[in-house]
This record gives sequence, C-alpha cells and structure tokens, in this order.
Amino acid sequence: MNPILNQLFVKAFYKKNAGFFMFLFLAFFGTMSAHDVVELHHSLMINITSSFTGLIVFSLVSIAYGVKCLFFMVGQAEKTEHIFIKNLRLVENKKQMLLFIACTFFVYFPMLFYSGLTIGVGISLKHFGVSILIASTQLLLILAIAYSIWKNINVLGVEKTYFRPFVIKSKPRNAYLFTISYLWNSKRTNLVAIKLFSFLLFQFLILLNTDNVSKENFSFVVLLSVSSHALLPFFIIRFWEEEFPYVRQFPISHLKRISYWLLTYVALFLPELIFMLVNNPDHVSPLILSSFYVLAVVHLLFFTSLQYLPRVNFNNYTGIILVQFFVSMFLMAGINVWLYALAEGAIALMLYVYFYPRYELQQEETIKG
Amino acid sequence: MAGLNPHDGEVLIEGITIKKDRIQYCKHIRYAEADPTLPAFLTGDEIVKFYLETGACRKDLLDKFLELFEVKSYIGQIIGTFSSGMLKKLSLALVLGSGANVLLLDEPLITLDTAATALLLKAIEELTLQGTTIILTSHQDVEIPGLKAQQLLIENQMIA
Repeated sequence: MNPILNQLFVKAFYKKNAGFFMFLFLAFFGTMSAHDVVELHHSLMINITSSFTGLIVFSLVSIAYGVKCLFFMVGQAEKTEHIFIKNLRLVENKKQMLLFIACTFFVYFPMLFYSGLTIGVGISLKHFGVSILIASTQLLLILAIAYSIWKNINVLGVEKTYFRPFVIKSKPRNAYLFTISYLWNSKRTNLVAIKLFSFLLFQFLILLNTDNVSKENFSFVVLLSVSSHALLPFFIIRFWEEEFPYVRQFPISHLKRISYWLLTYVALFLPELIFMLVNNPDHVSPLILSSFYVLAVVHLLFFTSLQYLPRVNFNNYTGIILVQFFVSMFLMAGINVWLYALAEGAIALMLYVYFYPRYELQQEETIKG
Repeated sequence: MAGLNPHDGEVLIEGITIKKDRIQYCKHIRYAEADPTLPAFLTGDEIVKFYLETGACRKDLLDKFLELFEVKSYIGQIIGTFSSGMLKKLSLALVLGSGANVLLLDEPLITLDTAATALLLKAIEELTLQGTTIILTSHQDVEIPGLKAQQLLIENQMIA
C-alpha cells in the first residue's frame, strides 16, 4: 500500500509543485551569496523564536503550507481515477492513520525541515518554551492533515461546501464580488500563497531596511509583489470567459466590464497599502505609497488586457511578465510613477477595447490551477 | 451571431451590427447553450440579480419564466448543487426573460422533464406570436400546435 500512496500523494505533489518550489528557492536562497543566505535565515529564525509577531507569521505560513498540502492530498483522493483509494476503508483505522501520517510527513517535509532548524536555533538561545510550541504546532498540523484525509476517505455523505462570507450570507452578492469570490472558492491556494508571499516581501523590506526604506528598494518590492499577483488575471479572465461566457452577450459597456476586475484589484492590494502606511510612515511618504498602489492596480489591469491578445497562453504570458518587470524597473527610474501609471492604464484600455471582441478562448492552452 | 465568438462578415439585427454597436446589438439577441455553464459557487438569485442589474433581462418577463419553470423554489441554492435539469431551466428562464427580439436556442429540450418541456414549448409559442424570432436546434421532433414554424432537417451535414 505504501508505494501506491507515495506515488499518489508525495511524488505527485512534488511533480505538480516543482515550479512553486523552484520559485521559492530562487526567491529565498538564489538571489544572495551563501553567507548572506545563512545570515538572513539565521536572523529570521532568531526573530521567530524571540518575537511574538515572528512566531505568529511563522505559524501562519506553516498553516498556509499545511492547507496547501491538505487540499492537494484531498483533491488527489477525490479524483475519479483514484477511486481505488476508497478500498483503504477495509484497512483498520490505526494502520490507515499511520499510512496517512507517513505521506503527510513527506509532503509537509520542507516546512518541517525549516521548523527543525528554527527549533534548533530556539534551543541554542534557550528559548525552550517557543521551541516546544513550534514542535507541537508542526506535530498537530501533520496529525490534522492526516486525520482530514482519513475522514475524507472513510466518512460518507460529506458534501462539498462553498465558502460565503457571513456578512453577505443573507442577501445575494453584488457582481463586483464575483471575481474575488471566484478566487477564494476556486483558486484559494494560489491566492493565499500569493498574498503570503507579498506580505513576506513587504515584511522583509521593513525588517531589513528599518532605518532607510529607499524608493528604489520599495519599487523593486512592489514590482515583485505585482509580478506574483500576475497569475490572478490569467485565472480571472478564464473564469469570466469559460465559466460565465454569457456575460459577453450582456448589453453593457467596456468600462462596466473592466470595473468588475478593476475593483477586485483595488481590493487585492489594499492590505499591502494599509500594511505599508502603518509600518512605514516616515521613510516613504503616503503620496508615494499611493502612487505605487495605483501603479500596482494598473499593472494588473494591463496584465488582464494582455489575456485578450491572440495566442497568449500561460507560457508566453510568464515571459511577458518577466519582460514587463524589467521594463518597469527601467521606466520607474526615469519617469514619474503617476505618469507611468496613467500611460500604462491608457494602453491597457486600448488593448482591451480592440482585442476583446476579437478574443477566442483557446481551450487547449488554459491551465487548471 | 450571438456575439460570443469573433466572426468575419456582418450580421444585422434591426439594422445594427455587433461591430458598430455592441450594446444595442446585444439587447436584440440572446443565445441559450445546450449544456449551460454558470459559476458553481454563486447562488441562483445572485445570477438573477446580476442579469437584472446589467439589463440582460427584463424583470417582469424574467419573473414570469422563473415562476413558470418553478425555478423560484431553488433559486437561493448554490449552482454547484443544481441538477442538470434545474440548471437548464434557470438558463432558459434567463434567455426567455431577456426580452430580446431574436433568441437562439440550442437543444432546449435536453435534460428537461416532460412537464417542463410542455411549458417551454408553450412559452416558445407565446413569444413567437408576440413577434420574437426563435431559432431552435433540436434532435427531437418539436411540434408546437398553433405555430407555423419553418423546419430545416439536417442530414449528413447538409440541409435536406
């Protein structure tokens, strides 16, 4: 049984997330010298074991990664072609749990490894309480994931439920909330990972440049954050065009259509804006922060318009994002951010108005996230 | 023709082409797919609200068809929980309730039960008599008493 589960959960997980791990590796280990990498992570681990905020952030990251592992494993177990996995019900519960714990251990291993090192640093600093807390959290997470998979396989009659924020449960959601609801319901892992990554970037910026957050550093982090968000327009357009194609027949203006995404992007970057306004009041002025916020929103609008260009698929889209990143870095060094945002917004609108009626979805080139 | 896919040439409805005036053109035509898709995480009433807010449906007409197909009894549920028949009825109500002059109905009878089929044929008859042009494709024989419909039979990819 073990080799099959290993194939089904562990190998498939790393195969599917190879790009994700490569990205994380490059972001956290590949852009600095070995010495700096060790120093950065050592200071991060000290921060985790010495400060409450650090511990909370680390716990949230652990939970997010745990949720990602859980969603993947449950998704694998629920696939029609993996129906044979239900035969595990015939195995006694204790043995089943052990099998799932073993699978979870390997899927969750990257986080566990980092936690192990952090615990080591905590013990060396004689922060025994925090170290025990981290170890317990990790153990609980593994047990919770394994139990959820066990429950998914053994408990019958559990219907798939869709999340609806409690505040709007009583009346129908407005159409402006459809996009964000779609992201939450269908692309939750991607959304949470992107937001966490984005917050980590800004947290690093504040941590590493406590005394001097320069405009250059800030613009680099903003562009990196926007680039990580660039996956969302790709999903959003596929949602509107694939799952809701009838909207094309609606007698509404282009501006109204655009507003359905634009307001989503405005909402998406609000947490980052608030975070920077709260944590960085002295170094970068609120006006500059606002200009970068507008630029981030316009960037996503531009990425959305790009989706309507002929022959744009996931592969060449990622290439475009990379080029756009460097072009933006170059332009932002010489042009006023407001002006740049205005020009890019105008280009995005023109591209959209021209290509929207000419758009034809290329089914074979879409990716299922 | 319905404005879902790009096309060459021109389609004129009431003298308007989609290339010249997309909004006006879309007011005149609506398409109902054989196998409709709607976002699974939304509820029926959220979809209805969206259609009404964007002017894609007329409230009086939509209410009439939602009631006719008994969609109102499950409209508050999430679409992901709908059966194919329930989804089809909602989709048909949204199209018939659009108030458009031209309706394109692709296989409207599939997944409908006998009672709903009879109601749909009656609705088609009514709309046609009121001046709506309905282009309907079907694998079943569609007999609408009291309605002179032009029928084209397709055999081996040719109009027989």
